[in-house]
Amino acid sequence: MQPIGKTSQAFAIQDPDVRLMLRVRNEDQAAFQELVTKYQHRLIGILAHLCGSADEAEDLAQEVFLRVYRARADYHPQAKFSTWFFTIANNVALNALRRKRRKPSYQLDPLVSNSGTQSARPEEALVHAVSTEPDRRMRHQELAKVVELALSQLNERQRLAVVLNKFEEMSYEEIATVIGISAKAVKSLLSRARTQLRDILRTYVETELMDDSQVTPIIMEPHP
Amino acid sequence: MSAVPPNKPKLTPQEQENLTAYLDHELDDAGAEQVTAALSRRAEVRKEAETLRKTWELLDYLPRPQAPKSFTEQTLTRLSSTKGILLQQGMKWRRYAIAGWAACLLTAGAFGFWLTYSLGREPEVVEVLAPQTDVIPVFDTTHTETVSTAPETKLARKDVKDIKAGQRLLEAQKRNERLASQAGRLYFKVRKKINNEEEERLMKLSKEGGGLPYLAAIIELAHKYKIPLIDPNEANSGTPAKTNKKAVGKGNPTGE
Repeated sequence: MQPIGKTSQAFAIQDPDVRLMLRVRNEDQAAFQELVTKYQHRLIGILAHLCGSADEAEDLAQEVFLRVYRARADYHPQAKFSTWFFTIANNVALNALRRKRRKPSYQLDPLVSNSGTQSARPEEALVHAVSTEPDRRMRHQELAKVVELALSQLNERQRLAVVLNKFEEMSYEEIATVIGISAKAVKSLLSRARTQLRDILRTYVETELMDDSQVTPIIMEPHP
Repeated sequence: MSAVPPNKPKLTPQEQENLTAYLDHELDDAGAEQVTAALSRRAEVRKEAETLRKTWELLDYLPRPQAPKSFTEQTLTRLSSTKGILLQQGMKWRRYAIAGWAACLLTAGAFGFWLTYSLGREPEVVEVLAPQTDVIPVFDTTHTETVSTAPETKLARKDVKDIKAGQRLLEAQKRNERLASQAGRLYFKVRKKINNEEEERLMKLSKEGGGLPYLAAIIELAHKYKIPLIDPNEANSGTPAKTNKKAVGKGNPTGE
């Protein structure tokens, strides 16, 4: 069993996933299986938004876990496990996207593939989708597509920052570590991303706000 | 939907960033107070905050793909098969590493051998034909040069760029030729004076190989019959004008 330093010990005490990974480092196969089971859905969820395809996300997720396993001997916890883990995921995803750019393949636009109509500009497609689906039962499905399309309009970094912030509840500092930029740059990145999303989804957001039966003035949660 | 919103809030990029960070609870106390104050004073800031919050909420509609049930099993299977490949790759690299080390060792060995051989070996010599007559000590009153008695046979390195060695050899050859000529002339002069016994002695020494004893005997006889060792004409013309007297001495038989 490899000894761990004081920093590693501190993270191991705070983060159970660090302890899990340290077991993987000590050749505990069951720990690796536990790790895969624990992170598979989160990872595929993030990767799907990065690469735009669930199938591809599964394949990439396997690649990420293999890399984690290969890197086990060099694992020395310096941060939360998820930060280290998603840094690897980011690298794998970026490599995949680069490969994809070198060998572009035709992909069906999700909205077009369902409707069968010719592809429109994203904003036009959003309006079309919203206005032609009044049925509330169908609305959730349609919203998913609309938001997915809006997210796909962001660049890779913005997309990753958004999904890590939204779904992994990562702090700016953690996102900065994953992407490899400063926390200040993450602040700016996320601001631009959210402004861009607001612009793309503006019509829908305003409709939603008007539809809300109780439109209350914004009440901010107490700042920690 | 237009790309540029019609009622774009009048927030500076800095205010926009701070508002987003405020919504994410990422502002420090001072920054948070500023945003709180702006929210209470400015309607456009409140509207922007509400729009951003609603936009953020919409992301909850994003589909969250789940891993298939077999994902863990598939990953572990892929890992075990990859392990074999990794192992093979490791062995392959190990073989390359061993071959590399062997090549390095061989190269280093060859270089070391060459270095040792080229630095440590005896200088290669060329056999230079010695002059037909050995050098003999010759003295005369006008010439103070001490001529080496060592046989100036040998020794020039074939592969060394020692120009001086070649020059020394040439000088020795010339000197020997001159002295041989002097010895021959002396012999003819001495022969005219010597008796039979002395001639027999000379003949005997000549048959035994000549050399120094033979020439010493001629010089001895020349002294006996008061024959000058060096022809004055020859001494004036044939002797090298420049002689390094300092270099010629007892401890430096070759004058080097």
